[in-house]
Amino acid sequence: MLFNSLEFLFFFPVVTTLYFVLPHAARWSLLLIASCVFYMVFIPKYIMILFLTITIDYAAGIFIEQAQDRRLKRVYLVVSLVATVLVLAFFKYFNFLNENIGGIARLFHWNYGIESLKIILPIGLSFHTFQSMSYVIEVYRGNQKAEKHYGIYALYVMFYPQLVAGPIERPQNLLPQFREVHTFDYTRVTNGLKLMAFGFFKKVVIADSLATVTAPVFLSPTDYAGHPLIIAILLFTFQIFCDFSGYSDIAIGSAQVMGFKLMENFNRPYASASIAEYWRRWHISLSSWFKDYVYIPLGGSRVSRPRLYLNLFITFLISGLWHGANWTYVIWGAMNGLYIILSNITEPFRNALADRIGISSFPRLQRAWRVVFTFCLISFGWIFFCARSISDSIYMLTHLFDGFIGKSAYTHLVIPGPALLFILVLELVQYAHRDRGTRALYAHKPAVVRWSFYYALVLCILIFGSYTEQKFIYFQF
Amino acid sequence: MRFIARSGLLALLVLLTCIALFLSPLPYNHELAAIVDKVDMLKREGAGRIIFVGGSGLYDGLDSGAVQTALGRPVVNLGLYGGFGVSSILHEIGPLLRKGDLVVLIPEYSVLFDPFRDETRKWLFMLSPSRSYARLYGMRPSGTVLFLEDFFSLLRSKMLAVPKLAGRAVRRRTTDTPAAGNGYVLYHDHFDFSGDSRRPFRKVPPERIEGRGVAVDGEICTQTLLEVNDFSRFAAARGASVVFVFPAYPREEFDLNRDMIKRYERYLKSYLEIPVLGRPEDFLFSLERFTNTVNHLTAEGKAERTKLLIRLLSTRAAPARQPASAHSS
Repeated sequence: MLFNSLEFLFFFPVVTTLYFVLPHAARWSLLLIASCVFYMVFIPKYIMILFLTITIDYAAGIFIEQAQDRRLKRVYLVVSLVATVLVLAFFKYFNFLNENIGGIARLFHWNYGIESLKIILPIGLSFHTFQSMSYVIEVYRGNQKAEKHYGIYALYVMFYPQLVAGPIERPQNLLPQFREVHTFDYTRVTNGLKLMAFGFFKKVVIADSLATVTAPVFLSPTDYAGHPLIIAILLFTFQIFCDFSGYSDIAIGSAQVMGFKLMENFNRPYASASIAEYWRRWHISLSSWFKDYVYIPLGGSRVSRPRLYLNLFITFLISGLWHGANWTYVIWGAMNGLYIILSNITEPFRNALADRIGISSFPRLQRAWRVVFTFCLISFGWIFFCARSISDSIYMLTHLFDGFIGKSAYTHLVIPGPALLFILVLELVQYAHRDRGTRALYAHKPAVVRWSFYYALVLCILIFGSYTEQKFIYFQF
Repeated sequence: MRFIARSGLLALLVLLTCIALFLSPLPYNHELAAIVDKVDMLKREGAGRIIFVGGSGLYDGLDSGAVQTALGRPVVNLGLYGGFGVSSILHEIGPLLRKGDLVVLIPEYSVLFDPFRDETRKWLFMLSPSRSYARLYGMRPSGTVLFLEDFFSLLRSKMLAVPKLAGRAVRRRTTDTPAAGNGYVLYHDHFDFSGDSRRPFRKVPPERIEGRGVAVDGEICTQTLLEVNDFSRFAAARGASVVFVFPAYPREEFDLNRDMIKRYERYLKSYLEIPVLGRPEDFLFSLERFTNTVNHLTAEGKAERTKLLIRLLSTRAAPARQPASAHSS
């Protein structure tokens, strides 16, 4: 079920009302059934995959906890991780791997006859497998007790607000919340609803409007050249942020209404002054997952410089591959890894240069410059993320500046003016909440300001929102 | 209780705003809203009018002033976009017909096959909300969703017209541009007194003319023809008449589609209960006379077609009265 669908408009109030009406003991069952319904709206039979990984990891958690021998614990961990990764690999990476092997085979004129599978990727597979893996690893590390209640564990993996696109929760944060008694708290509920409304504003008002401009460009980039390509990439930068952070806001808000506190997923990422800072602010739940379960186990930063750079590069490479089974995502991940490595290497030189030209005496100006530069690097990276193929991304890279050197652009873009205005509004709202976050939008302002804001927000969603049920970009991962 | 009361109050405020905005006299920031202004013309003009009904081939494909001068009858050009469909427009103009009116149907060939496009629905709703709701949306929940989508889209269009109205208010200090009507906010900039476009389509090289090399192939929508026949009977009861005229088409394309178009001609002549004036061959022009599609004429093409239409219609449309003086302004 999509958050921006008519079904969700009925689903959410019904489930939330029942949640508060039912006694605490029955609430987990309600949420589990609701989560199953939410998931089964996409492809019902895929729920079996979900229950397979849930059962494996549930059993693995108990076995790991009960095992006395450290080696045996490790065996259970490996079995569980391999099983979960195999499910992910089969559905997400089999065709990618197969096509690449086939390509290599053709190059050497080998006979390779394995056909690609005609399967649809289960929605949110990468998210819930990572959440499951997180649970098993934490039990193995002794940071989390194994969950004995199968239903509660299943709910941990399937909790509908964050089932299909995160935030990827840690068991220490989410599991205990299913045992807490949540009463109807006016402030919490209204803050949750406000956050949901803000998420809908980002998604249906901004992201979906921008999609009408960017989608045709990325679908057929060769029809465009020069400034239309640059504009489309810049608009995509905001589109993907509004799309994904909008989803996260709706997820966090809808959980908050019922009394659950999910982790933050975004913190004004485009205000970052470096790529490293950006990755601490963008898709925080995934970045911290990679940090805790890939980067640190590889040695983290407490290693030699070359090894540190290798660790960083590997982490970002896997992160790129996590996003999609396409070389464009791999390049995008590698590119971000290189950004951070180069940033690390050149930092002393850049600091010296800043001192030399005197900009370091103006810290605000220096930060502003770094924010702009980081934003440009991030936008540049999105070329690979949004392109459908390597050749498309190469075309875009080589035709970005065509209009500036004499050639005229082929096709012009019609930019939706209101969407640009709303991006400005969004940035101002986020700036106003830079310290407190957006979990309690304008909660501390006078009633007139608060009500005007809520009124305008609802009106904007109704009047300027898209009603076409466009999928969230991150659903495909 | 507090939650229900406050969220109810917010919902009420939003609802009242939406209704107020919908009922406000603000025009719309969308070219298709021009259909509202065009149909409004029928409420103002006198009797004995010549009313042209068609798609974008008429929007910028007719010199209504010349027809009016030659035939001595007020002309209303309702041509705007083929996606409205012929029967939808007829449904709207039926109640506005007066004695002596002559309705000239000139739908493009494509309009005969694909008579209605979804994007026109909300503008048809705007023409007669109470009469059209059931026909356009039905009474099912999915229809209600469509209606809400269209309703908010109309509100959006009204809101986006505000900056243009403000710009117009500033310009009016220096120019004599009439105020916006109830439909398209730029109606008076884009259309003249009889509904002809003031903004010609951009001419493209012949190889880029849309629809070129495409076979005229499809099933004529029988329902449309039935509705035209119904309309003609309704018009006759009101003392008005209806005729059908073939659309303008490139000669080069006609040669490729001759068999199919002649088959359509025979079909229309046998099926329609109204006079079909002339033949498809009468309205063939060189490809040079078309701008960006096989339906849109250049100024020269428009002049040639207007002459042909005057000649064809002169037998049907004897002068009823002198055109109102305001029309010659």
